[in-house]
Amino acid sequence: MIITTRDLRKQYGKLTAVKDVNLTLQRGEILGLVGPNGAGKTTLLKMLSTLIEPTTGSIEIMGFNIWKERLQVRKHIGYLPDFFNLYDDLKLWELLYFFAQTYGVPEDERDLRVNTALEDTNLLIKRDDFIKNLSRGMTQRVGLATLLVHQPDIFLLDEPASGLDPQARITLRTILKKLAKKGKTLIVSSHILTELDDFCSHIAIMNKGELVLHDEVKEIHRKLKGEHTLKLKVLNMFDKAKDTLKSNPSITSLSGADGIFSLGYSGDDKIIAKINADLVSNGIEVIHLQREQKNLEGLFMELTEELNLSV
Amino acid sequence: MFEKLMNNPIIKRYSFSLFRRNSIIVASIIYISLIMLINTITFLYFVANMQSNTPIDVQKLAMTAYPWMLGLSVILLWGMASITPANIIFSQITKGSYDFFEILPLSGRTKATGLLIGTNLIYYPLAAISIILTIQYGMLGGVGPIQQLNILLLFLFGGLFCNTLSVLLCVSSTNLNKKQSKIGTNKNGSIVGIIILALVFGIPIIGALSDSKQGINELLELKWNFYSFKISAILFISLAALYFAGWNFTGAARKLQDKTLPMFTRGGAVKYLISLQFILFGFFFNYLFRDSIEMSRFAGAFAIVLFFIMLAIYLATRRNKKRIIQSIDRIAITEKKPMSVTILKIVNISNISEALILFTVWAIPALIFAITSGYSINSIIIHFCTFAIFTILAASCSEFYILFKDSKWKYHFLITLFFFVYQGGIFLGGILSRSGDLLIFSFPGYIILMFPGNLTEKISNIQRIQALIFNAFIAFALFGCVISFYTMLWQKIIADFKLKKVIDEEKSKKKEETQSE
Repeated sequence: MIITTRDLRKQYGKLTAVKDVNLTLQRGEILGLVGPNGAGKTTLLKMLSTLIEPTTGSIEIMGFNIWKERLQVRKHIGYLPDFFNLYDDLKLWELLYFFAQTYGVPEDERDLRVNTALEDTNLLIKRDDFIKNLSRGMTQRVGLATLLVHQPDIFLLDEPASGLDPQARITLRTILKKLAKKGKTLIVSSHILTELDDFCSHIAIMNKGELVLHDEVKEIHRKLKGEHTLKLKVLNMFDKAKDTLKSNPSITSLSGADGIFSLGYSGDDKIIAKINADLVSNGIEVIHLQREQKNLEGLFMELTEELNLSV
Repeated sequence: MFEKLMNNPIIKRYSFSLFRRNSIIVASIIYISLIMLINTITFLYFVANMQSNTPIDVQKLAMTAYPWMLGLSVILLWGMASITPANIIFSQITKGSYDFFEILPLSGRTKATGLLIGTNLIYYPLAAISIILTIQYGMLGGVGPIQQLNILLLFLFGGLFCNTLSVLLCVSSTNLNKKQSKIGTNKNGSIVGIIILALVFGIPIIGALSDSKQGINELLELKWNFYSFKISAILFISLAALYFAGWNFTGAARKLQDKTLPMFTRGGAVKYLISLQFILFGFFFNYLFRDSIEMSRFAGAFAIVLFFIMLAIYLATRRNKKRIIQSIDRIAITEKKPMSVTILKIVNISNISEALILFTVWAIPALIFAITSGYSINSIIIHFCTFAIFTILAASCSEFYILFKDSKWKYHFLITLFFFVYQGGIFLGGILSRSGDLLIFSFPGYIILMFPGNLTEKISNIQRIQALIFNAFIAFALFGCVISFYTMLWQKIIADFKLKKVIDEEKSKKKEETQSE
């Protein structure tokens, strides 16, 4: 295992930002860390990057205890915060040279590494420009270049696509895929799931500090294939409608309130007919029925919604 | 050495940004203009005060410019070179680039050296040029080489002290990741602190030097009693500044290595307090054994100041809850009977032990002072017991504060409130009602009543003992609560540790079983 967290928790007074997270990652995995704003993604990444100390629990990175052997760990990780400002008094190549030197890149390789990182992020043309003169999107790419220049084993990227134009997003995906092929491990956080769906090997969903799902993308898709979602709207007797739906054994999940329900079921269209018949026979007026194929986004909404309702 | 410095990435990084052609040209123009201005003003001043038809006395002219040049050097090295790293650190925090700096895989020492030298790549050379010019003026003015060397040492070590103190204050800020910092540890606090230090140490020296050669001689000939020796005051200040600069640097490096670490190690705090007391004690050694009322008052005040310094050192040594838990974890792993919790073990693992050790280190010279200053044995016993009780009270409150800081914010708030209401409330009540009977129950009030005054005369030793018993009751009650809380925490950690061990063993057994199947 390249990253292992055990019962990781971060408490800020009354607020539990991260709650007992157990996470394992192997070399070459790309983990998409998804969750709504305030889910605890940034706090988790900051703990992994040694920036903040967990309240309880432990983290091991490449066999090193993150707090006892912090300096060793830092040599192996590259962290890109969600909001950052680089040293704007430096030129682009100077900044990358500084990172190369700091992370122990041999002197004779530094110039080559700087130019390669600039080329990979399409910034070679801006080599001699000052950081302060770059646009937000370009700065985001410079941030990525500061990591590429020293090629760490683990990349921790917090919302790396924010502020990037569509073309830059495609470039970012290509870079990340290339890195994974080289055996690098990546954790990429985002609150947009579709952004991660096509290049992540694993997905972890966080909500209110908890890790509500962590699985391989392939496995999640396999599970989702047999499941459908039904959107349902009734006009009256909301509680009775909920009880009727709950009593149906084909329904695997149920959420919603005030007469608007979203339910998961497995089986064919006959199930829909049965659900409708059951509701009508109980005197409930059904005004809307719509079948949907469940996708990752649907699953994400369901998981985060369920938790929010229970809270 | 030079190569090592140039290989420091932070110095290299600042060499990129500071050594740009335009910056160098601007800095050079400003500097040369300043030098020319100083020389012109001193020349015109000198000529205006000169009798007509007399030739220009170069020696006198050089000595007129000398203090000005020295002043410029002090401003550059002590002032600007201290403010610049503070400015840069805080601008990194407000701009959001400090995270990058923090996670750089560099040791604390490398970072501290980089910040100190890298950010001052402009000011250090300018200060060096200024001091070379100052020495030249001194030579022209007839200041001897030994005297020049003394001034040079004071200039360098004093500067180093101010610069390292500035870095230490900045990196010790408790809210480094937030845009606002607490009073006293923020940018303005650091700058104000440095300016005050520069004024306190710099102005008297420059003032003395401004009286020309005679002033320099008087200053350099000033000798202080240090134990049974007589040493040069300037040399002593220089060496003390170098010594404390070393501590500042070590503290800053520790904070840059890991911001959650306290500024001092446990051993470091004791060494620091001992060395500080050794130096200060040395000055008053010759005044001891003189049975006078003034001496007893002075000794009392001196011991009280040292007591508060001791408390400040203790605050800078405290470990946070996480580190304490790690120590208990270590015991769970290494000890054969980790569940057997004793008060001694808990005190040792907590910060209270450090408070008690530091109190003992403070108490030994304070006791010598008290005995030699003519305090009665009864007074000494009561005073020392009161100070010891306050140490236990403060250490227990501080321990609660640390234990509840992250999780139970209400308790953490309540204990702070309790401490200030209990000590401050009683004190204010006593002051407002002008009642010594009430004042004696608070520690600040007790200190006031140690010195002669209308209220003090009305306080008997019996009343002091009553207050002592009352405070001891509260201090030990709090201490007991801390011990109980630690016992629960200890047992929970050990139980969790055992449970985890059992689960892990079961898991590995199951794994082995499935593998064999």
